[in-house]
Amino acid sequence: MALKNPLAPFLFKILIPTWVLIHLTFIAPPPALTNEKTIKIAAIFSLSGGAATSNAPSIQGIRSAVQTLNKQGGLLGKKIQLMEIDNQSTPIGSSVAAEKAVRLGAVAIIGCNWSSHSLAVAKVAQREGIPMISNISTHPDVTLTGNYIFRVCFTDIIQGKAMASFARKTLKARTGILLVNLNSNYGIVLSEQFKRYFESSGGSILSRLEYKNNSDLHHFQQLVERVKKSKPNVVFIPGFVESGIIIREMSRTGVTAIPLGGDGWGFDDFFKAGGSELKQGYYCTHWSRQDSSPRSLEYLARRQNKNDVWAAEVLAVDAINLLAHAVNQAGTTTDGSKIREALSQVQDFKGITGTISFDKNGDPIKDVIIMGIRNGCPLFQSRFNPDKNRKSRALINAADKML
Amino acid sequence: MKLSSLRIKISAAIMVTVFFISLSIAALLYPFEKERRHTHLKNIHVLLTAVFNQKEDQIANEIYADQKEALVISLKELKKIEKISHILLYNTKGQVMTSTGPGADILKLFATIDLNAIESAAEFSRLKYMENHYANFFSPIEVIGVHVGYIRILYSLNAFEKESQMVVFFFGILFFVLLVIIICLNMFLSHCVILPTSRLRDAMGQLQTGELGTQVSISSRDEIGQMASAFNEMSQMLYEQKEKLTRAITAKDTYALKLKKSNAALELLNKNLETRVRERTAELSKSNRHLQEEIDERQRAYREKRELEKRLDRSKKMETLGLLAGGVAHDLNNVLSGIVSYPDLLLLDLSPDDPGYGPIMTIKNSGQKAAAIVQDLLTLTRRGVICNEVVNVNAIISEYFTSPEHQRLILFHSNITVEVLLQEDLFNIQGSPLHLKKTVMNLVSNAAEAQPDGGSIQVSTYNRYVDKPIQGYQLIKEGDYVILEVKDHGMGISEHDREKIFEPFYTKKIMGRSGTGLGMAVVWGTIQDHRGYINIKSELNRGTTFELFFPITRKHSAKQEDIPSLASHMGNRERILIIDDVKEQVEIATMILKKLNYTPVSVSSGEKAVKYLESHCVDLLILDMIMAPGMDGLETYKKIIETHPGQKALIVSGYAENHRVKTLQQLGAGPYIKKPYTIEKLGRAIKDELLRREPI
Repeated sequence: MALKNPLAPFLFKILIPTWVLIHLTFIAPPPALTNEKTIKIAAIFSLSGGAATSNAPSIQGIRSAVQTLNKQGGLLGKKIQLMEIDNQSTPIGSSVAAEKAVRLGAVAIIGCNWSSHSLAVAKVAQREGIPMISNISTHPDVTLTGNYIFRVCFTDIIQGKAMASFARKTLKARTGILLVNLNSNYGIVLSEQFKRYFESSGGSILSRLEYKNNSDLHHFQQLVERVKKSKPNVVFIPGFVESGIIIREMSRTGVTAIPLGGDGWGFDDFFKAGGSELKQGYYCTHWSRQDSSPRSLEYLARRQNKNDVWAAEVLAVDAINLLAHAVNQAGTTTDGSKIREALSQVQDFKGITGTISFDKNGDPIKDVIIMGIRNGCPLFQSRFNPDKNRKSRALINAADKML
Repeated sequence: MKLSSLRIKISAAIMVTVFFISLSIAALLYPFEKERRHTHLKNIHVLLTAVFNQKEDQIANEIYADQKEALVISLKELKKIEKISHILLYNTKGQVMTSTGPGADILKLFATIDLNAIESAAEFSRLKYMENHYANFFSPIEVIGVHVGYIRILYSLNAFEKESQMVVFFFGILFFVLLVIIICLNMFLSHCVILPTSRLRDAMGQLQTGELGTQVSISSRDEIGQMASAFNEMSQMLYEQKEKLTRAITAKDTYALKLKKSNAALELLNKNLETRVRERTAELSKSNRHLQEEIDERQRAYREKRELEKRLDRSKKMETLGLLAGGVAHDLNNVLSGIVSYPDLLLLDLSPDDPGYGPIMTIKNSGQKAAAIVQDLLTLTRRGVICNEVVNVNAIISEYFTSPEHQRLILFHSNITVEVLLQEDLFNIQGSPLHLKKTVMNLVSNAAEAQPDGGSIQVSTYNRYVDKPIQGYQLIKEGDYVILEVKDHGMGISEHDREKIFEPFYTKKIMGRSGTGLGMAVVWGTIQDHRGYINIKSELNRGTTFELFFPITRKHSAKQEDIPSLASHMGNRERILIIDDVKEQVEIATMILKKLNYTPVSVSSGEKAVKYLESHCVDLLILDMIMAPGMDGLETYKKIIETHPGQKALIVSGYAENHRVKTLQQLGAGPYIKKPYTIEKLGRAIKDELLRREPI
């Protein structure tokens, strides 16, 4: 920026150096100069906005896990300083939150829930070299952003296949309709994956109906009308709380198609939205309350009300614990690259939601839990193990390449 | 030329007015229109800003999260706003990411942005591209300080522009309409005002040149029409009047000629007529006079007859009464004589002390009174049977005063003095001495009674000529009279009593004391019988004057001496002019003058005398003083001496001398004679005057 004006001397000799100095002193202490007694971990979630209710369990889980760890003495003798940063339920907000996390000197980031948010944060984390672990973002591109980005859950490729397979094989569905939220990167990609596997196994997707974050009830009712007209066997709704509303409307108008969904259904607000109208349906998730593994039971025992515990929460706990493990392994509370290194080398980490080993992308291979809905309550249906389906493994890789 | 200027004036006025009106309207509306446009544009800007702000968050996140499909729908939603024609989204490098809207050209126009040129703030401008007008809204897309790109919204301003065009168009139409109105007004005015006015002016011109009766044909009912009809009427009127005048003049000439002829004829006729009328009038007046004289004669004769009849009646009545009364009286007298005389006898034997004296006295008095009443009655009854002797009042009075009755009166009223004043040459009258005596007696008696505490009574006589009728107690006619006057200074007679005193038995006096109650009745009766009048002048407590008028007679009484010799008074046929308005006086004078051997001529007024003397000469005038309504004696004489200086004249009058008479005498007239005059008196006076010489 060559400024040909009289202000140039002032700018170069006085203003800019001052600004740099201020910046260095107050805003971003360089990692090398830190002499902290705590380890700063940023948790970027939606504390406000449309995703706030569904993000609550994640935050709950993180706080609980951090508390436990701090009680046990923290990490490497340092207490965990948890910095909860609000991403305002928007991608841009997530980007701003990530920048803030950087400014605050976070050594690692846990977040987000929604894939669109995680995608935004991942960019910043990768750029800044801060390891990031998402607990429940399933969009494949999240970890593909870079080697600093990890997750503790399966991806949409896997759950898309799982649901499509279930629909075809178990439900014997031949026709289906997709209901996609265009504002949700997660929803777009999951519906794509479901369609691919549904059609490749002989099914037929009749149509793709679209909605957005700002769609109102009237719009949903219009979509339901169209579903009713089309009379599909199944309706795949890879959304969050709005899915409950849609299913409710479907039930009210007498649509017989079986609603199918993704892991976005596994939240309290979804069941609240649908209420007793959630007469039927299936979805997949990362963990169910009926899991009888010791870790699961142990965690549940610590919680007062079991029915308040959702997958996001335990995934978050797993994410923190995983991070802690990596930090301990790395032997540093400040060097992000070392922590990243440690993370990438994690093998068979025993979490509540299962055993975690990262592949080259930073994704774990985990089972997909298929749940059924009976009278507004989730019930364990079956498990889907991606490993067991080798054929599908090849497909997964192929799909990866395509993506 | 004049009307053209009128048209021009009107047209100019209309045009100027219209022009100013439209100008004002335009001036008024222009800022409003401008304001409106500005506001509208501002509103569009506000709208686009608001709409964009509403969607900014969503679009920004969709751009940022690379949610292309969602972005497309968002843009579609944005484009739902009416009149938004194109939306272009740019990335941070200024390249178009997506766009929506018809027409690739304009999109191409905005395909890139020069990053150096743009400002960080939003931009709002207008542009025109290929006959289309747009509003160009440009803004960076920035959310929570994160700049994700730019947006450009093109908003169609075609309608907006059309609006403005409409306004201009409207004004054009308005202007055109106004123009049409001007033309129409002009035509209308031309038709209604200018045309008729010019016609009227032409007609007036014609009228001016003398074509009366020119009509102008204007059918409207407005002011000009009224003017036109008024003009027509006036023109017609003028024409007609002119015609009338011409006709009238011709007619007048004809008439004038006719008139002359008839005038001449009329004059002739008139002359004849006058003569005829005069003749006729003379005839008529002659016959009228004859008739009048006849009528007067007849009336007089009738009246006399009636009078005579009345008198005859009365006489008969009186005769009858007289006979009756006479008989009664006679008998009564006989009876009364006893009552009167025997008491006398008795009284002789009695002394006043006797008790019976008084009563007897009373009896006697009563008897006497009764006798007196009887006498009076007799007197009264003898009315109408009076003798017509020639008597002289003086003699009667003298007789009375020497009578025993008067002596008795004097004795009784010792405190009253009586004066007697009798004119020497009192004329005679015709009448009854007895009644006259009684009259005098009664009047004197009353006069005495009226002054119980003493006083005086004047009895006088004189001759008097009454020139004009006197309205006193009675209406006294003109003529020569002998006046008998009885005057007292007593208690007087009231108005009321004066009416009644002549009634029989009406008396204020105590009955029985004196009198019979018939005294005044007798007086009245006497007066009537003597063809005389009575006049009463009275004032309460001052006195009363009775004036008795008796008409004179020139006959001589038997008692009187011979007429004194008139030889010394005879004249020599001298011409004497008698100037008097009263015919009888003239007759008397003429008679006397003839007797005295003069040549009398008479005229009935002063004026006639003057006229007579213009062509005649007389030796003497006998000039009456009062000749109303004409000139009186003085004036007459003055006029006469203008032509006849030193004219001799005698002045006669019924009144006393006055200053006019004296003036006359100073002028040269002769002696003054009071009427009524005797022959002797007159003769002497004439002689004196004729022989008088002017003092040298």
